[in-house]
Amino acid sequence: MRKYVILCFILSLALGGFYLINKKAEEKAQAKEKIQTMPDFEFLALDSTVFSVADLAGRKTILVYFNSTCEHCQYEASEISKQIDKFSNVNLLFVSEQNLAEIRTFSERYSLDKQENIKFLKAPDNGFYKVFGSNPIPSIFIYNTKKQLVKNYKGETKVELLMMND
Amino acid sequence: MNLLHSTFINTDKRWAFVFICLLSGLLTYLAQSFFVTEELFYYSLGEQVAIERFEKLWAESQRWQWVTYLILPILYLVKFTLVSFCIVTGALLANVKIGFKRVFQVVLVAEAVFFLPIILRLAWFTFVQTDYTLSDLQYFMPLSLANLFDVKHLEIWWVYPFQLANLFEVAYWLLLAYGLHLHTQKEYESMLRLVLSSYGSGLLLWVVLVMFLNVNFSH
Repeated sequence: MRKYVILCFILSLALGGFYLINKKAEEKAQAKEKIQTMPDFEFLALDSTVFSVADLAGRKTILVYFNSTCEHCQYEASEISKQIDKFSNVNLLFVSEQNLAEIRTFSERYSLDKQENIKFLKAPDNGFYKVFGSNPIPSIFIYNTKKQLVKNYKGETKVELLMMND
Repeated sequence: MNLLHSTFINTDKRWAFVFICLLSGLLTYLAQSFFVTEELFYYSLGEQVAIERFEKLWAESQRWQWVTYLILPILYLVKFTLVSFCIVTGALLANVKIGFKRVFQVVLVAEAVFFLPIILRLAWFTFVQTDYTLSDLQYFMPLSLANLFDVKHLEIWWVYPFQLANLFEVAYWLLLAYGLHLHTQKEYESMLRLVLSSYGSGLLLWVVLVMFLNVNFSH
């Protein structure tokens, strides 16, 4: 009898696990679908104003999700900074969940704080995941002028590729 | 059959453990040295990373390669202990008298069957499929569901259960049951039922855990 109780318990645990796996898998599939068009977001700009999709100029948008302590993000920012001329006709959004002071320091360190087409934004804790359904650091989302997703890179990506996807 | 019989009864646990770790280390070394080349790794990244950065990342990964060999014995020890624990618990519930040490010995001997797919994999990519990608290496599991279906198109969390459903796993269950049958002198069929209900339950929970972690942490 005891044996069957334990087996039933294990089976229930496994079924519960499968339910959670299925739920998470569905969430991921929905998020993947959702980001095919740039999702609505409202993040905080460095001047503490709210920045949303509506504020984007009608051109290609490259969104970099980063953390200033991540070495790959530092490299990405420095490479973009070195070839900044190539990005003049692009909305370049750097989004992080760190505090505004840390984000500002990062933008200044790579001299990316002066250009009007570059915005540094703060997402609330877990806010980026809620909107984009993914949060590996760094993540890069490239949207065309119609705000349709062209490419999503996970991890450090060379600048040539960012400019290749129009 | 006599050889199998004496192996299950007389194998020294310590030496068997050392042998398993050494053989596994050697096969891992062969696979890493001959198959996972710098070029293969670079193209598997889809040339996403600048070449000078890739070289740095590659050098870094090579520098930490020794950690793989260091954790092998720990992983094996954990695996053998967990499998033995499942079977001992099942034996207790089924009123079968067998100690942990004997079960551990059976588990160690049965593990030998898992070297076959590793050797087959090495042979396959050496002689048959000489042109391959990193994902070919990762997903290949001979005589498994993963080789019947194209797992590359499945979500990542389904790959592990498809790989696990293989004939070597079945042979492992049969060997475990045979080893227990020799040590307990109970019927082979009842020992097979014991393995299926005890190790099988543990394996089911393990698969669910691995899938759960994959679905939550994969990108």
